[in-house]
Amino acid sequence: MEYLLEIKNLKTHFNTKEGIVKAVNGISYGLKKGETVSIVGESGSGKSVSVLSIMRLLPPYAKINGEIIFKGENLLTYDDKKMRKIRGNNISMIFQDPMSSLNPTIKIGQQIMEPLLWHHKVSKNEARHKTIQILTEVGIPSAKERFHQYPFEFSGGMRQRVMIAMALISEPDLLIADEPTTSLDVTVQAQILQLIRKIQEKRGTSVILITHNLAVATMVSDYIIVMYGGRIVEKATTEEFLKKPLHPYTLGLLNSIPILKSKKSLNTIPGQPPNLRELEEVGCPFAKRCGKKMSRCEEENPPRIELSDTHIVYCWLYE
Amino acid sequence: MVLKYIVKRVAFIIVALFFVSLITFILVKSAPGSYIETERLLSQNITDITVPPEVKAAWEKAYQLDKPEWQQFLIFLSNAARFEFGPSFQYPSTTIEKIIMRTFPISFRLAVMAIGLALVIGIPLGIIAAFKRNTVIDRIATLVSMIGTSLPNYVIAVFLIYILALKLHLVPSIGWGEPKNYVLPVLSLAIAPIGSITRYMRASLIETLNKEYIRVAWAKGGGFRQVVLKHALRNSLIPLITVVGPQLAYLTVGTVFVENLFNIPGLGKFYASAAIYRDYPMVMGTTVFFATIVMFTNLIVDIIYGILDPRIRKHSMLEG
Repeated sequence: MEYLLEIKNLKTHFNTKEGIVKAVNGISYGLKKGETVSIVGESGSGKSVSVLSIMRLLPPYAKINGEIIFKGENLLTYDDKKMRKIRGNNISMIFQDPMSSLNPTIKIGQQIMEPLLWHHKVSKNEARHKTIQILTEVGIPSAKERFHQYPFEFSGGMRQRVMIAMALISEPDLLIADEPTTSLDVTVQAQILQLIRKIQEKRGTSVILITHNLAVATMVSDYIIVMYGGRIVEKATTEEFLKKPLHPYTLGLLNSIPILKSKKSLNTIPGQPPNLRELEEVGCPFAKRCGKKMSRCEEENPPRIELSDTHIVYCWLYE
Repeated sequence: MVLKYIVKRVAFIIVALFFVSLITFILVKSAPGSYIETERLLSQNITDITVPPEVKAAWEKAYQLDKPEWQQFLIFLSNAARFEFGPSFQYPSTTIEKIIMRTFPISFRLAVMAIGLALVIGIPLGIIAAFKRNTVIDRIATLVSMIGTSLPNYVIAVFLIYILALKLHLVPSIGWGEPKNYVLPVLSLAIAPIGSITRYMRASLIETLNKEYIRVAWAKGGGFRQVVLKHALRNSLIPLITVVGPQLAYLTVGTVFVENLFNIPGLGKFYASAAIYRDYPMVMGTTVFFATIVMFTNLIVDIIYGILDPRIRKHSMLEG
């Protein structure tokens, strides 16, 4: 099957006064219709920037290189006007903080139907009808009344449901969720993830889920991509990932998940996340913190090792 | 509910006005000099300011100044509550409230025109500065607004008279009654609010544009019209009202210098001369009137703010 979205050697660098910040350094992956991929990594791994590059929602001093093939066309060749027609229409996005993602002075219903009104020729009545329908679908009771309420009248979980409704109203092919559950209570987190999965299954929407929470990633996704220092270090199906994690960084991440009632002290990965300004051109970005470092790790780029059609790791250990 | 909030605020204003009256009264009574002495000195050019005691006694009796001071204060309060301030020392044939009613609209019109001009110039300038931030345009806007806010309006007025009236002969420097007479005073008054509105608009818009919901609006596929004009501008204009309201009140009161400079028969001119002549009833009457204007303007601003911002409308107002 053909890819809905194919990222080829994506590089996103920021030109700042203090130097070039290399947030994303040549990542490639593909996503088919209806698939869910999770991108996992710690803060500063480039996971958010990589999806914001797809949406082209970065400041002008960001330089994006590579190819972003969406439905057979390279989005990086699109001008602003063409890109606007993609955003909120073919590709939608949900952000981390539902408390600040909604305009406090505009009614919920109005905000949800905006993508529909901006992209399609629909009457206000049709849009309203559809909004109420989708509000019900994302699990907001008495949607007709809620339509006329303001964001401050909603709880955090409810606001994230509103955000999901807003992202789905124009029936996008791809939904990007950037840490959609990070700022929510644990119980609400599970509800929101279930909702995303339910809607995805029902509509066949592809999903890119950005998270630093491995549990979240394994719960909803078909594939998991682990990023470090702006590069992909490991890519696998969720099953392979759980059975046979390979990259030292992945193992470190898995080991540093706290286990309830465990007497052992929590494992951590020693060292600091890399400074993206001082990243070396060659060598494995994780080498400085890696317990299994070899001399070639800092001198040569790690090889791409294919353990199966779907399991790829970038590490000298598996050569 | 909203009514309860307003009643509460008005009650507070009444208490505040009582203290304003009391403090003004004490200050006025403890200030040296008296009207009849000052009047002889200033208007009739008589250096011997002693007044025959029987003349003074008759004059004091006419203005009830022979009564104990606490009684004078109570009389003032009860009259002021009915918006009656009686005749002033300078103008015994008319009443202060009549003078206020005649002259205040002139000052108010000047202030409204100045604020209107300031909004028309300041808002677009602030928006441009916000979008072109840290460019030459932004620096110029910042410089202009700093000059505007830091120079007193009478300095600006003199400067404008020199340029526009004396050098370019575009408008008359003095006179009243024709539209062209408004140009210089309105410009002089508008410079300061232009400065503060520009700076406030710039800061407010930059802050709003950095909000997460603006990024969401871009992500929904909005363009400049949808994102900036619909989402950002509206939300950054709401706090501007808290600046514009008090500015209007301040300008209405603060036209004193400009009215004297251009010889405009507004309330500010009467206020200034009342202070110079020790015209106590006039000083008391106008001070309390100005205080009332400022406080009610603030109340109106808060109500409008609540109407525009649903969070405030539905919360603080309902809870009173």
